[in-house]
Order: sequence, then structure tokens, then C-alpha cells
Amino acid sequence: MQTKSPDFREIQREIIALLPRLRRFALGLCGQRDEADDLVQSACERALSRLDQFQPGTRLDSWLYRIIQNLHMDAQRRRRYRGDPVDPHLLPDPEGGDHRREMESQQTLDVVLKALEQLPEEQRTALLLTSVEGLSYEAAAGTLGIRPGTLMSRISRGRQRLHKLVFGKDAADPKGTATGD
Amino acid sequence: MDKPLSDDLLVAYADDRLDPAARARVEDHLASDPAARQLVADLREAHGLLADGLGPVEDEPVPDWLVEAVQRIPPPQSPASTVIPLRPRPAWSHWPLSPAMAALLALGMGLVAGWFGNAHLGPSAPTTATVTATGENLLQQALEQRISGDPLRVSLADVQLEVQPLLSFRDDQGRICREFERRAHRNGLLDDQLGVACRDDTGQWVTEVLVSRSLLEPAGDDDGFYAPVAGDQATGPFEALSEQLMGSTPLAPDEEAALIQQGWAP
Repeated sequence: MQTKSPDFREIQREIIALLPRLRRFALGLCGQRDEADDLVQSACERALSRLDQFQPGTRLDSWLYRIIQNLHMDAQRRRRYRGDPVDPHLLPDPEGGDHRREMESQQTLDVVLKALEQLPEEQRTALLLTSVEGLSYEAAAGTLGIRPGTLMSRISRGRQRLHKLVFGKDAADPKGTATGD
Repeated sequence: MDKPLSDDLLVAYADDRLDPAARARVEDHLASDPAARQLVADLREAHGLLADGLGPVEDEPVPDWLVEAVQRIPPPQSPASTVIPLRPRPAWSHWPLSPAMAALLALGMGLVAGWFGNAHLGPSAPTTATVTATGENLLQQALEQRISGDPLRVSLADVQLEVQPLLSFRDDQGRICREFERRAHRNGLLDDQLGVACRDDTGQWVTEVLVSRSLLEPAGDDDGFYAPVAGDQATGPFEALSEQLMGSTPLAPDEEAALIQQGWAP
């Protein structure tokens, strides 16, 4: 048999342990459960076929978040070129379908996903890595390959936009008196 | 009222990631700035919404098909990794830098500061400006993200550029500095440089030393190009120059990796 990368099986196990978080990140990015899981599967395949690009001693989760984000952006780009908004089987069921749950957290999730969808990709990613995945500012900036200052401004603008989308008032209202007009 | 606080600072405050002194300053300001207080409240509310909405997704069971799909991924067919061993550190004391050698190196730096001249590239090649800009991006990215011994490469038409960090150290002002080697190839022509760059407080790597290997090696001897060895006579003067910047011993690989992971934050 051919020589294997010595850490392959170990990293494969670590990746499997990360799946719940990778799925969550992918769901936040693309807003669709099926698509998110496909994205995670593709990212795991890519990661495990290119382990030489992983820097030992760095965070495996950051590397995978980055791969997921790159794959997602590639997919978005391809769709734009084809003028093909989403794969038909990934379109959400307008009546809710199988995934609908009458739980408050599910409603919050739906609201959050809908709002995230309207943010620019760069703000969405910054919010997901910090507020959801719990990365430090430094780790999130490292994952995205941007400077911490750039990350902070994306977080600030992203959260203000998200707040406005969900609560319908302008977070940056200079007088602090906005009431929803 | 004093000048408004930056949004960055308010985000860090809202997330409770400021040190006590900065926190106290922000609170002082907030006491007299209702708009900033509202912004902090909104930033927190948005954070809470994200955490509440998406947080619980982590607790959902992962579908079996996905776990099985990942388990079925086979190892790559061939060893994908090309390990480049770290250059062992030579004994510094062997390479005192004479004033004459320092002058020679300073001259060399001026001569080889770019990647290639137009004469090398020819009319149909990417412009020197393009190569220089790409080379600079590559240098920044490699120094910021790559561990020592791990090269980063890019191709521009038939020009190949490569930057490989060699080791990291702190200078006597506490800045992080890295020795690197960068190479540009085109049609068998090779430009090979050794340098030291230090990270400034904006995150930019500023090149402090840059010399061409061809100036360091006896004419006609290119054995050392790809396999620098410890105490290599040809690179001794470069290392002596680098040593002048070095405030302490080079960082250990795990220390370096940890710093890269943290974006070089102390």
C-alpha cells in the first residue's frame, strides 16, 4: 500500500468531531440545511485530500471554516455565471416542510438566517466566526486572512445591519432616539 | 464632549473584551453619550440574536450519511507533503560582520531590491510593476501566515515567485522579525534573495535586510542555492547582519506556530 500521511486518520477523527460546528457555520453561510451539509462534505473532502496545506500547530477548525467559506463563494460565483440562483431541490418549502418545528429557538433561527442572507458575505462570515463560533477577534481575522481592524469594522457594520433588519430600527441613529420610522 | 468612540472600541466593549483600563475609559464616555449607549445595546442584542438562533444548531445530531461520507474519504494516493527541514542555526560568533562586508551588503541591497529588471522579463512578460506588486503581496502573506520552512508560491504567466520564511525572532525592540528567502524564476533565470522583515504595529512586514545570494557566493558556485547548510560560508555575512537585529535566540517552532495562530499578537 502507498505511504500515508501519518496524521491522516487522526485528523479525520478530529474533523468528524468538528462536524456539528462545521454544519452550523455552513448553515449560517448559506441558509439551507441540505446545501450546508453538502458544503461540509465537500470541505472535508478537500481538506483531507490536501492535508499538506494544513499547518500543524494551527487550528484545524479555522482551516476548515476557511475552506467552507471558499467553497461557498465559489458556488455563489458559479451560480451567478450560470444565472441559476439555487439548485431546485434546495429551495425552501414555502409551507415549512419537514424541518419546521414549533419551537421558539427555531423561529429565532429562521429570523437570523433570513437576516444573515441579506448581509454581504464578508460581514456574514465575520459575524458567524465571532458571535456564533466563538473565535477570538485575532483567530477570526487569521481565518479570513484579514487584519484585525478590518474584522472589527465588518463586525460593527454587520451587527448594526442585522439589528436593523430584525428590529427595524437604525442601530447607528445619531440621536439614539430611533423608534422604527 | 470628547471625541466619539470608534465603533471598533464599542464592539470590543459590548463583547466584554477590553482590559479594565480601556473599559473604564469607555464607560466614562458612555455616561455622557446616549447614542453610543444605544449602539452598544444594539450590538449586544445582535450578538445575542446570532448566538441564540444559531448556537443550538451545534447540538443537533449530525446525519449518519455525512459522518459516513467523511469516514469513507481515503488518504491521498501519494505523500502530498514535501517537508523542507528548518535550516539549522549556525554559531553566530563565527560570522562577525566587518565594516567592509556591511558596506558590500548595503550596496547589494540597493542593486537587487526589485525582483527582476525589465531586461530580464522582456516585452511580453508581466510588467515589472505587476511582478513587484505580486511579489510584495506574496511576501506579506507568507510572513504573516506560513511557518518557517513552509514556502508559498505563485505563478504569473511564466514567472514563478516563491517566498519561504526561514526562522523567526524578536528584535531588541520586541518586534517580531523573520528571515526569509525569496526566489523568482523565469526561463531558467533565477533571482534568489535572502532577507529579514519585521512586523510593524499595523501588521505590515517591513523589509530591513535584503541581499541577493549571488552576491554572497563565489562566482560559478551555485551548489548552495537549494541546500543552504549550517555555517554555510556563503550565507554567513547575511546571518551576521540578521544577528545584529536579533534581540534573543530564534523562536522555537511551537512558539512560532502559536504566534502565527494568534495573528502574531503577544
